[in-house]
Amino acid sequence: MIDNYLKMKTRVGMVSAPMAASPTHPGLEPTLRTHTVPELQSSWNVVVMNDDVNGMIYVVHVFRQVFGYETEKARRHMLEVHNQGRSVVWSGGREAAEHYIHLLQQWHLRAQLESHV
Amino acid sequence: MSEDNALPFPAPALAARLRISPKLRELLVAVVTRVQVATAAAPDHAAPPTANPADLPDPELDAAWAAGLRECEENDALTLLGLMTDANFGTANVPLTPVGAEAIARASVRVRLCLRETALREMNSADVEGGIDVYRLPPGEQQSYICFRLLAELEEDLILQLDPGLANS
Repeated sequence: MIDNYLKMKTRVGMVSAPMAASPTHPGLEPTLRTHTVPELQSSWNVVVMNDDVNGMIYVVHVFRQVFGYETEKARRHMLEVHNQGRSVVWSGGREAAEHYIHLLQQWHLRAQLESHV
Repeated sequence: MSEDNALPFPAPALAARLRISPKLRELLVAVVTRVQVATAAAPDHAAPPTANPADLPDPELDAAWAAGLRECEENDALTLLGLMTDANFGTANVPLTPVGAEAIARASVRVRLCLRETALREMNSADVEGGIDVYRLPPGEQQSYICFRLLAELEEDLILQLDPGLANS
């Protein structure tokens, strides 16, 4: 499931070709190659929003499962979501942040990505 | 592992331990099935996050994102319906694997979210979170609310079996 998504993160593009000889158009044939675009090293926040359906124990469990947090840390974030309506549960590179959001959505938590300026 | 190295006690058994009458079980199966059919027919999968206004539309990413969520939801739904059609469900413990227990917890949440958005949309948040006497609800909402609470009970019990340290959370 997530593999499908991660595959999409590898971009396919045209790169300038070495001037390869071509029987029909010498020196003009481009070469199709794949390359990975390096992610900008900006910081992104994974934000979880409150809802009135998911129980406290469930949310703590999800934070522990998805991020590997200790119970206390997961509980702190859960209470922040409950009391303040939202919590920044993780910050880092965009690709990892998107991966976490996808996992949180699988667990039906309301999660969004925010640029950390 | 050889028998000499085996732990001197059995692994803790995970199980669905909900006890309900045959009539409530029938109601629960009917409501869960109805919600699953409705959500399968009209999926509302979340779109990938597009927090950066400079992002260009990426239909392939959108499709992969939705497909991943859909696959997970379908597997979870099948696991939940499998539990509910087990002959022992409601009257005896139904053994589960940890993966199955998590799938059932996720599917239960999915059904409860759907009930909240449809049959229970008029309820205020405090009543949803804190609980309410079912007889205070209009007759049209009572059955949905009973299922909402039963699924919450099932889900919480499974999470506590998976993660006993959360009992005081």
